[in-house]
Amino acid sequence: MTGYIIRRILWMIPLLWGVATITFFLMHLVPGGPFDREKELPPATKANLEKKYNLDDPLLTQYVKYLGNLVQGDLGTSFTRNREVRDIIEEGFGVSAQLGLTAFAFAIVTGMSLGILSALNQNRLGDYVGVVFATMGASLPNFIVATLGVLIFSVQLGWFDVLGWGGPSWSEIYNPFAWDFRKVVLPVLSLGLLPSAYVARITRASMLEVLRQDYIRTARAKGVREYVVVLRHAIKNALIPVLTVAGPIFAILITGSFIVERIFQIPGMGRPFVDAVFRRDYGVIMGTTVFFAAIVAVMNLIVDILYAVVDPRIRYR
Amino acid sequence: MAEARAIGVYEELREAAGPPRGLWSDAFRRLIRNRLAMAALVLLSVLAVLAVAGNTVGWVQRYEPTFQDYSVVKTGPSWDHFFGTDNLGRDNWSRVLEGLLISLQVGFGVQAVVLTIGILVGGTAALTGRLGDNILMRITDLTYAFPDLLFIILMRSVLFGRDWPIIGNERILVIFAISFVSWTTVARLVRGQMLSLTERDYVIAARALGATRVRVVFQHMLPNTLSPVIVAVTFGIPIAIFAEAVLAFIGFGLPPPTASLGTLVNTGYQYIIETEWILVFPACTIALLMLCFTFLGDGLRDALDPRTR
Repeated sequence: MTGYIIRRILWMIPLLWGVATITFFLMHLVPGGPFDREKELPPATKANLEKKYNLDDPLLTQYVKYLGNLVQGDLGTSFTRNREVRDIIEEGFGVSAQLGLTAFAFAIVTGMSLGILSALNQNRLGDYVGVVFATMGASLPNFIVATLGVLIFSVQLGWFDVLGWGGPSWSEIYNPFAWDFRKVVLPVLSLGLLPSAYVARITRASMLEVLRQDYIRTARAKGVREYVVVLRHAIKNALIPVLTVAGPIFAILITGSFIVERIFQIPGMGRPFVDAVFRRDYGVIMGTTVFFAAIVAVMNLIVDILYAVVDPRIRYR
Repeated sequence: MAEARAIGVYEELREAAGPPRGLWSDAFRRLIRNRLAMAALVLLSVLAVLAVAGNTVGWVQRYEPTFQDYSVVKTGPSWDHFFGTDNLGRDNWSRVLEGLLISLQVGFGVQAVVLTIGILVGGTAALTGRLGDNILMRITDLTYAFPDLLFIILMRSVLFGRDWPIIGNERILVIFAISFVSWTTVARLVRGQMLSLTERDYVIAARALGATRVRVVFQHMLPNTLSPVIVAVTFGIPIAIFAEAVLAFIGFGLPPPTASLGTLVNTGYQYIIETEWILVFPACTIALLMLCFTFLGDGLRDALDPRTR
């Protein structure tokens, strides 16, 4: 197991190097440069600017320099914002992470509860409600939920605000009164609805499978109370397939938050990245891509490890 | 006596069961019996016909999607304009139909590219031995490691704004941009299936009978990898449609005045305070498309792999 984890962590190095390399060259393939304006800059100004950010070096030199800095944790400077890329990411990612994690929690909790309720009431009313939710939800992409949600709940009913993010500072994260729910509910719902439908589907299927197993019958036969059977024997085993999708869901949430942030004007990572691609702000493009790739890779690793923890039958070599 | 009776029973049973059926016709029967999937298929066919007719036949389209009539700006649905008009007085019905066609083209186009790359990469990895397998699978892992949307946005920016030979249509560029991140699932699926198939009895038997390698792969192995791939591709269509809509929504899609459904949702969202109609129709169209493909995918999965029921 330890050997497996070490190998997986080591594999992340070439993986991220690959992501950085491909992004670097792709980015420079995008037509136009960071200092191309509709009104041409004077050639001397442009040359000076390019010199300042080392853009006058040959591409390979730039690449080697960039990698050198990256290894030391230096993500470079944003040309258009004149700030460290690191600061931009730190600032934006804090908000994106809050939105993403809240939506993640929402997706797992509602998805699993609905899936379990469905499975326990198979082919009865509760099941149909769950199945309809799971199918409908899975075909409602985040920006549709977000825009229609704003239309119905903010414009028509006036229940929620739509500008900005209402999350607290990280130190107050457990204090429910620090959250501005008028601003939080819609973005989280938009982002979390589709994954929660996905989780509900998988939980239902795996619960149905588990409930048919012999050990459940044994537990019931020896007189264990029903809720103990469900809580202790069934749910624990039904968790495993849900865990396998936790990694992909996390990736969906991370990129999905870009769109939701845009709709609700949330100051996360979405805006800086989209702006950066429009303006060829190389540093921000690189920084964001590599950073997010690293996060997804770490998340996938954690999921794989948890997988082995939950299911002792799984052995990694 | 007993033997003759047994044969009689066997004959009776055979007659009752009808002519022998293959895997595919069996799956087809199961699919037809699935009402939800059939409803989705019928609805999708209607939408597809509407999309094609709405971009070619004048009396279905009614107005040019780019025609601006400033006397009717931001109006609701009426007999003149079924879906109302947008902020520039353009007819939303014809624009939604244009967007619908783009969505379908992108959905199917992306899956065509994904299928080609996926089968090539997955098949080659499974059949070329360890070195090839290792290299190709590491490339697959690498592609998978990219945050999807970020990479699609980047690819789209790389591909646009150049003079491409042969490719005249920008829709094809969008299709390529989305395909480049989406092929990993199919590649992994094909590789996994192929690897497990090489050990199956019927493949070994075919090889023992002296079938050539090419024949074994194309005649015996590829058809048996197909059913999970078909399911994956069906589920991939709504994902591709969603990706295109998102690109258009954040301004990285097809350039205006082309009306992609994502662009229409974006316009609708801008005028959400004044009128809800510009938003509602394209948004519901996307949801309907995705819902239909999900139902169809579910039906296909149940039909092709009865064990997952």
